[in-house]
Order: sequence, then C-alpha cells, then structure tokens
Amino acid sequence: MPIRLLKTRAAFAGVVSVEEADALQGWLGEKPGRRVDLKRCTHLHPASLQVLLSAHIRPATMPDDPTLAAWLVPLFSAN
Amino acid sequence: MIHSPINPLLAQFLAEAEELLEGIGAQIMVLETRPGEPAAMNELFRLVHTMKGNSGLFDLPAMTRVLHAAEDLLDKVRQGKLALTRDHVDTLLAAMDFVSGMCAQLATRGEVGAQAAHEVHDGAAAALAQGLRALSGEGGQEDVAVPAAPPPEQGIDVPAEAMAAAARHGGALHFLRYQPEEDCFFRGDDPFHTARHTPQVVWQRIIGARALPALGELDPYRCLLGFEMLSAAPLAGIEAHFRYAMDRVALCPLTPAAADDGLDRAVLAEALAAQRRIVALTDDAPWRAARLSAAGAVVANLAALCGDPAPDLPEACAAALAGNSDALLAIIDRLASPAPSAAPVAAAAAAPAPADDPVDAVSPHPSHARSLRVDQGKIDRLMGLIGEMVVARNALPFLAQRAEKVYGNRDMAREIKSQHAVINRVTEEMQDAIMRIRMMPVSVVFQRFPRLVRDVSRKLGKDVELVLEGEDTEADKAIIEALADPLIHILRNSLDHGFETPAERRANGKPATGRLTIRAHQEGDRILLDITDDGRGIDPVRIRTKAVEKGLVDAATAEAMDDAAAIQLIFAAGFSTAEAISDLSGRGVGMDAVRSAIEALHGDVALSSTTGSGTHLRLTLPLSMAVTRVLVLEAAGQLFAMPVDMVIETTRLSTSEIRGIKTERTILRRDRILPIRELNDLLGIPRPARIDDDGEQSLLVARLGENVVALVVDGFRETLDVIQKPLTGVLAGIPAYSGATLMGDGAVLLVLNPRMLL
Repeated sequence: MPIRLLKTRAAFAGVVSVEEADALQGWLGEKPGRRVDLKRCTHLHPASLQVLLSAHIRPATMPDDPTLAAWLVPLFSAN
Repeated sequence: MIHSPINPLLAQFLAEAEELLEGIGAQIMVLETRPGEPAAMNELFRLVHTMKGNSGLFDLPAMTRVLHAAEDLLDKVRQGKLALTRDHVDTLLAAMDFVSGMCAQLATRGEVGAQAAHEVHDGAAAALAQGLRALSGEGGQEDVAVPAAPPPEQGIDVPAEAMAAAARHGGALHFLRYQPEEDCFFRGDDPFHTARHTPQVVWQRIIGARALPALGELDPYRCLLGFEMLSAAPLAGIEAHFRYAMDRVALCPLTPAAADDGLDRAVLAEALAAQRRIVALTDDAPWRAARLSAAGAVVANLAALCGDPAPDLPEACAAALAGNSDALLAIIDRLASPAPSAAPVAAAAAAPAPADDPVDAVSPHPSHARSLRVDQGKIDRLMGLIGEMVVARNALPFLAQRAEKVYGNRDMAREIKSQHAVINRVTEEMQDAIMRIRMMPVSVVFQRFPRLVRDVSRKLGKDVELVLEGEDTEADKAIIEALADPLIHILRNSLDHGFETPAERRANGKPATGRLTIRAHQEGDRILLDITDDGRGIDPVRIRTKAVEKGLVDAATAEAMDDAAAIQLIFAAGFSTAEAISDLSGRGVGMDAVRSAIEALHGDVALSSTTGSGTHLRLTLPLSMAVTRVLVLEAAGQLFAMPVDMVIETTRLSTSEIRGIKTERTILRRDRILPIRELNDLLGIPRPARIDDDGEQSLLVARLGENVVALVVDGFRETLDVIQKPLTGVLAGIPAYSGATLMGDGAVLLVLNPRMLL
C-alpha cells in the first residue's frame, strides 16, 4: 500500500502511483490539519503531488530519496 | 504554446506550404487565361483550403485570416455566384505573396518575429482580408472567428534562479522547461518521472504550484504542473530522453561566457549604468517607490547573471525605499566592476539582453543524424539506370536464342544463358537495394497526427484519443509523402463529422473520449492503412437526401441504392453535409480529393460504416510504384501491357456464351454479369478481335475500381516486371496509357491505364 491513510497522518511509502490521488484528495478534504509523511516515499505521481500542493500541505517529513528530495524540498518550502 | 528552436512540425508545414503556394500560383494563372475552367477552379480551391487548414495548426492568425478570406472568395466563384475578374486575380496573387513572404520569414527565423513584426503582419493581413471580402461582395466585413492572437513568444525567459545555478556550475548547460499536456495522465504518462530521470540534472524545480486551484476544485487528473531543469547532458541525450514529449519541451543552451566576452559585458554595464541613474534620481515623484522596486528587481536579475548572489540586495532595496539608496548604489557599482579575483562567469544565450530578436540568440540544433542526405534526383537516376540494366539483361535470352538458331552454336547459347543467370541475380539485388533506399516508415507521416488530432479536437470541443499502430511499416517515399494530404483530410473529416461531442457520446452510452485508430500493415506487395473511428458513423438516409439535394444522383437512383452503396456517395465531387462551414473541413473537397489522390497512387479506398458505432476506411496502396508487374497482351499484332494487380482472371470465351442485354454484349462468369469490351475498339483499331479455330476468343477479366469488365484481346504473352517511364511529348496527352517500357528485344511496350480506357 503506497499510502496508508491514518487518522491524523498519511504515510507515503515507495512509488505513489496515479491511482492514489483521488483517495488522498478525499482524505485531505475531510479534515483540515492532517499530516503527511514522505520519508519512505521514492516517487510521487504528479497527480498526487498536485493534491498535496493544492491543499497547502507542508509535509512533516521529506523523502530520504535524495533526488526526490531535491525536487520537493524547495517546492514545499515555497508553497 | 511551447517554442523549441526548430520545430519539425513547422519545418514540414513550410515545405508543404512551398508546394501548395506553387500550385496555387499555377492554378491562378490557368484561371486567368481560361476563366471558369472547373478543374483548375476546384484544384485552386482545394489548395487554398488545405493551406488554410495547415496554417491553423500554428499561431499564425494573420495568415489564417488572409487564407480564409481568399477561400471564401474562391468558394463564391466556384459556386458560380461570382465571375473571376482581373481584380480578383491581382488581389489573390497579392494575398499569396503575403503568405509566402510570411513563410519565408518563418523559415529563416523559426518564428514570425517580435511584437512589432506581428503588428505589421496583422495590419497587412487585415488590409488584404478586407480587400478580398470587398471583392466577394461582403462589404468588407469579416465574419470569421479568427483565433485571438496569443501574446507573441519572446524566446525562452530563463528564470534568474536557473541563471544563478548555471553560473555556479560554470560548464555548458541546457535549460529545459517541460510543460506536459494537461491530459497526459490519461495516456499513462508520469511527467514527473520523466523529468526526474532527465540525464545529468544540475538544478531543478517544479512550476505551476501557485496557480493550482483550491483542493475542492482541483481535478488531480489534469496535469497543471511543469518542470524546469538545467542539464549538463549533451543535446542529443536530452532529446533522446524527451523523444516522446519534445514538442512540450522548451530548450535553450546556456554557455559560460568567456571572460573577454565584450558584448555581454558591455550590455551588462549599460544596464547597470541605467539602473544607477534611476536609483540616483532624487526627485520626489509619487511613483518613486515603484520605480525603485523595478530597478531593484532588474539589479537582482543582473546580479544573478553575474553569478553574484548579492545577499545584501533585499536590505539595500528596503533602505533605498526608506530614502537611503547608498547601499543599493554600492551593489550596482560592485556588479559593474567585478573584482578581478572573482571569476566572471555570465550566462549568455537567451539572457534578457535588449535583443529585438530573441530567436537569434538560441543556437540551432546541431545535427547528430548518422545518415546521409542525398538529393532525391540522384536516387531517381539510379532507379532509371537499373531500369535500363533490367532491359539489357532481358536482351540476353534473345541473344542466346540467336546464337543457337541463327549461328547454330549451342555451346555459346548455353554460356550466354549462364551469364544471364548471374546478371539476373545481381540486378535483382540491386533493384531491391535501391528500392530499400527509397523506403520510408509511415511514422514520417504519422508523427504529426497526434498534434493535429489534439488541436482539431480541442477546437471542436471534442475528446478524441488517437491510437497509432504499425508505425514502422515501410513503403516507397513517393507513396508515403503522397499519403500525407489524403490522411489529413480523412482525419479532419472524421474529427469534424464522425465524432460526437462528449455529452452526446455519454447520452448514447459510449465513453466520453472517442477513439481514432490508424493502423498500418503490409500484406504481400501492398500496404494497408485502416482508419477506424468509434463516432456516430455515416447516416445513409442523410447521405441520400444530401446527394439528391446537391444533384449528384436523382431521387430514384438514390432510393434504389443499398446503404453500403449510399455511403460511397461521400466520395462524389462536391459532396458535403456539414451545416456550418468551419476552418477544418466541410466544404466537400475532402473525400473526393482523397479518392483521387489514392487512385493516382494506384491504390483503392474502401469505406464501411455502422450508424451509431463508427466508420472504417481502408486505404490499399502498392509498396512501391517503381516496379510494376504487368501482363503482356496482344491486340491487332501489337503488344500492350496491363498491370497485373487489375487482372482478376484470363480465360477463353466461346462466342456461344455471349448474351445480348439491350445493346450490350455480356457474359455470365462466376454468378456475375460482366459487360464485354473489345480492346481493339477501345484503342480505336478498326479490326475485330481474333477468333481461333475452335471459335474461341481470349478474355481478360479486369477490375477497374468498383467495376469488373471483360476485355476481349487477341492473345496473352508472359508477365514482366517493368519500370515504367512516363510518356513525354505528344504521347503524354493520351490518358489511355500510363507509361511505357522496353522489352528485352528492344521493342517498346505501352502500359495501359485501364481506368482511363473505358
């Protein structure tokens, strides 16, 4: 399971594919202030990425994957 | 629109435009000398129509506008509502000169140019369009919805951050901006994945995050993000990586400027001096604050250009706004005279220098192709030579015969025959090799369809997915190139008339996205192209009504036709069912032009359609036009050739089998009644066909498009592979022959063109 949607936080792991975007959008819309952990994420499909950006999420943890972090860290800190 | 330095689509458009404009000029000239010539009129109209359609693919509103006006004028003339006068011709020629001038400009600069050039074009276009419309009696009004001119492209503006990163890196880099198509997720694309794996990325960022709608309104499956990167990889590597999305990538090289790069330094110094003057102004104008922030922004950009991060700049700007501009002036001075120890590295290329022609700054792609470009004339000459070689080879068996019969030397004859076998093998291989040189994959034509389908369907508010199959199927260059025009017509027709709007489709229980499939494959020595759509299909009832309305058939004939025959009426000249004239299709020039183009290539078009579920078109074409297999016939002591692909069977005909129906002589063969024609009659030879001792004649059953005809000839000879030479001089005007070739004994063999024979 690439995203585990828990009560207060979503844990991303491995490759998050395009299918996840819908569920993620719903989950983030349900309750404001939910947390997102990207630590174990190795790739994020832009559909899900758009959802995170649109929800103005600042992930609690950034990916360990260095190339993914290089893309995402400046993006989320500017967002 | 994303702009890449050399757009292959644009290059293709320009090459075609040149041809089209040539044709347009020629037809206008024909019409000037022979006004009202319908063939020239139709051809002229078709050319202008095609040209307009092509121009619509690019942001060339001025060109489209003029062509649309010209097309409207020609349509009136074609329908006989207007007689073509000298004034018309003058204005049309002026309009075409304008279009070709624009094309020439596009060809040299890769785009139309800066804002000023746009305005000049728009002005000229408006004047020409007005002139054309005044002549067509519309009082100079333009009823055309020309797409609003988008802001002109100003090259690629490389963001300051990228410039700074490039300066830090110091080596030669490419800046890329990849803006994926909005609907790319539906094709299974992951543009982020593509961007992440770009070779040798040294700097990257994701753009478009700020413009995203709020979470509730976001459609996550429309890609709104873009990607910017600096890559140290060679251009070829980048292009290979983005090979499926190159049209969505804007690219420009950034080269580290040499320390003695005089021009850039001079420009930089000038810009800095200007900022210095602005900052130093001491007046108390109410716009002082805005002026200072603007100057501050420019200084920030210039600092990035110099590779100086200028961390003290924001503070200095704030101080300047508060009234103390000393700090800002100090920064400007520091930038203007870099310390000799700091290696001055400036990014050149598309830097915001005050150049009025941003494209010139972008260096063209170097060519990495490991292939040889050869003038087509040279290949054609090789082809001609091998044709002569084949003829010379065919003479050897005759020579062997003579050696044996005339000189009585059987050994000599045998030796000649064995030599013939060797030469035969070599020439056949050579012929094959030369044919292969001329072979091109259909992808050459297919590659522009995704863009075409996307643009056209978007314009029409339809949702269509294009599926291409068998793109590597090969055929002769001449065939492939000639296919482009008819295929574009077919696609436009299908998109315009075939597909329903997404709402209609949903209402009919179909998926909202239509599917248009083009499949190419080879079958024997033919190439087959299947174009299938899942649109509304062709409604035979509507076709019958329209055909009767247009006077193409009378009501009784239309009524008697079955549905399959009725839909074939769309191939009739002048048939069009579109209610509104759009700039895509719907003037009835499409399908008859398609059929004649395909038939000119010795091909066939087959159409089938199921109302409500779609249309299927099959184009069958020869793989090559260079070599034709012919059957040699005898008529009145002369030899003629008939292409074998038209021959269904050769048979004997007993005079007792002939039945008279009215004045026609017919024969019943395989449950079909076939009309009988005598080849001698058709060729105007006043001699009856030979009847042999058993009272029988030789009969050739041939297929001519939809019809099957029985031809009576004097006799049959062998079949031959020949390379046809077009007839020249007086003979060129005789349509009954498609060409000529030489037999092995030196005799000339005329190849019949059965379509024109009847």
